[in-house]
Amino acid sequence: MKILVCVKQVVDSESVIAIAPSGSWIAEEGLVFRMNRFDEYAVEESLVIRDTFPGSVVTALSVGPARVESTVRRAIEMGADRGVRVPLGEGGYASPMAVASLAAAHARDEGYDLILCGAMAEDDMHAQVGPLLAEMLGIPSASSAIALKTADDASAVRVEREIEGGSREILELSLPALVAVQPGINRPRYPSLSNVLRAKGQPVPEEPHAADESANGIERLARLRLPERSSRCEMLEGSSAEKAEKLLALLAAKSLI
Amino acid sequence: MEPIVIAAELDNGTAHPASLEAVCFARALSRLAPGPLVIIAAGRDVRMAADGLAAATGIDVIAVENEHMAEYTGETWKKTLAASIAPLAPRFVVIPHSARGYDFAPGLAVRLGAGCVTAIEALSEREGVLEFTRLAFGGKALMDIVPPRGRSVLTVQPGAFPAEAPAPAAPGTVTLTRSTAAPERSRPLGRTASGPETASLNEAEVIVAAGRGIGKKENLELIRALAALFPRSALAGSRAVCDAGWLEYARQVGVTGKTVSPRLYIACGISGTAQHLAGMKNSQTIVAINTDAGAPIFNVAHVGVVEDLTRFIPLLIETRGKAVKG
Ligand SMILES: Cc1cc2nc3c(=O)[nH]c(=O)nc-3n(C[C@H](O)[C@H](O)[C@H](O)COP(=O)(O)OP(=O)(O)OC[C@H]3O[C@@H](n4cnc5c(N)ncnc54)[C@H](O)[C@@H]3O)c2cc1C
Repeated sequence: MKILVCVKQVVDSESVIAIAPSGSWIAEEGLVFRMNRFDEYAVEESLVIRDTFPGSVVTALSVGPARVESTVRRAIEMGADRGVRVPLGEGGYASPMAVASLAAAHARDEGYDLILCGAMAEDDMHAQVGPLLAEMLGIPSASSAIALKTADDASAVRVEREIEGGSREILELSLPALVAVQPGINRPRYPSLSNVLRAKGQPVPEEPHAADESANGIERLARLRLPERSSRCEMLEGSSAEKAEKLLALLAAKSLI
Repeated sequence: MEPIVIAAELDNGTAHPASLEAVCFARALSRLAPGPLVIIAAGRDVRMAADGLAAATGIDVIAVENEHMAEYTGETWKKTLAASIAPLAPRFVVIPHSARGYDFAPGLAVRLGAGCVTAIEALSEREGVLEFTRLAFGGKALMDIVPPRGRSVLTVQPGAFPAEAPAPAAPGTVTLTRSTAAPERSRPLGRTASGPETASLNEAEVIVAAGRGIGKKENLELIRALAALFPRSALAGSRAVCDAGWLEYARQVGVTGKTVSPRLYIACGISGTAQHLAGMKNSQTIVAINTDAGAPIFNVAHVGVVEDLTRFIPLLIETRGKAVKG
């Protein structure tokens, strides 16, 4: 099987974020970039499927500025066979529509049997690129996949999608298809030493494509801002010991303890 | 004037509550971007749900009867909705940001040659420009998005636009149409029942919940020890903790887990993304312990403690021990 896995580079979510002076994105200097966690599950799933279908090839794709090459490389370190980067912008906000149309430009002639994406990106939280890409390629898709099984003859995938309240919707998609996976579908592996060494020597070619400006409207990020603290939250002040005492007193006053 | 179309979500012959919230959003939107409202109710055996929607909202409803919509596939939804919405040439198509909504909305946008903005929580107008507000960076930041000039598909975060009590208005008219769109490349195979009930979570007066911030599985013992301070307490966790295999999924709180509203909810090392908040924000008292003062959990908490939980929880237990003894 030919499998494409789409990976995004994001700022590590533990970082304390500040808005850039332009107001158009976060201040990125000094922050640590890594693979979007949701995408790690997509990479793992692609490797699991490759292992059950000998001869399969996994390609990792990222759309973005030069720095995202390290995230493609991370996918190769995890085990992807090859990587490719389609250039877009210099960082900051990227419309999912633009990202998906560039990914589609790459995928259109490659003949992938299965495309895997993460359910959403930790930074913009749009959850759009997967379903957009599928529609642009004219293939069926399912999002929020928590279980995935490929038919023995590689003609279809059986997907369990998570829906509200803990139940699942089950469907079968004929291949080629796209599946956006949920965390929990597997346990992403850590890169093995041999794959890390292999990734070092492997080029990540840059594959420019023209954005398709004709079709769909592109939204614009007017500004990014920090939410106002809700006034109802009482932040406890003082030393750790004082906070512990205050908290216990508050709970006691409400007869909770 | 170009209409604003609401694609209602139906559930067993009635409109899902999120559909009424989408209507509420669409009404607010029509005040900023004037246009007539139209509801599309597509599904199998839709007549009752369509009548219900027309009566509850006073808005005209186009009911689309399709026997292939008994079970969900994104393919059938996109085909059916695109075919019934395109002729209306709307400026906006409004859809609940539900597990179905976010599955088909982007693809529907592509079919309609529209832009797409998801998980909208607020709307406003700034210097004559319409903006939609949505969360980013796990809720640590807000994005104000200007939709493209042409058509847009919008999904509305459940809970953000509480449905108004139905105003006594004349019911909208219902037009019944038919669609034969069928899935060709996907096949629905049914649904699994919801996960096992965790009685202890529903009955608990106090829930102590662990997030990724506990760092490692062993630290669950800290959370357990904290829970032990309270009678009728139970242990729960964020999705991240369940995904890591530290806690069973039956104890996950959030959109894809349990919804709880105990007297006290203590969130330990939980950042507070919308998906988690959906499951616990109605708790009577919420206490959050988190090292990051910017964590969005503090936006719903009543009491905030900016501390490292691995040091603070033992201290809290110790202080309590002294108080009880002394
Ligand atoms: C479709 C969908 C459905 C989802 N459903 C759910 C759901 O039902 N429930 C759910 O919970 N999530 C759900 N999620 C996932 C959700 O988006 C978040 O990824 C998840 O809730 C994050 O869990 P967390 O807060 O434990 O981890 P993180 O977001 O990683 O937060 C960890 C927090 O711990 C703090 N911390 C770190 N170290 C310490 C320390 N030593 N002491 C104190 N604090 C510390 C950090 O500051 C941070 O705020 C869903 C996502 C999607 C896309």
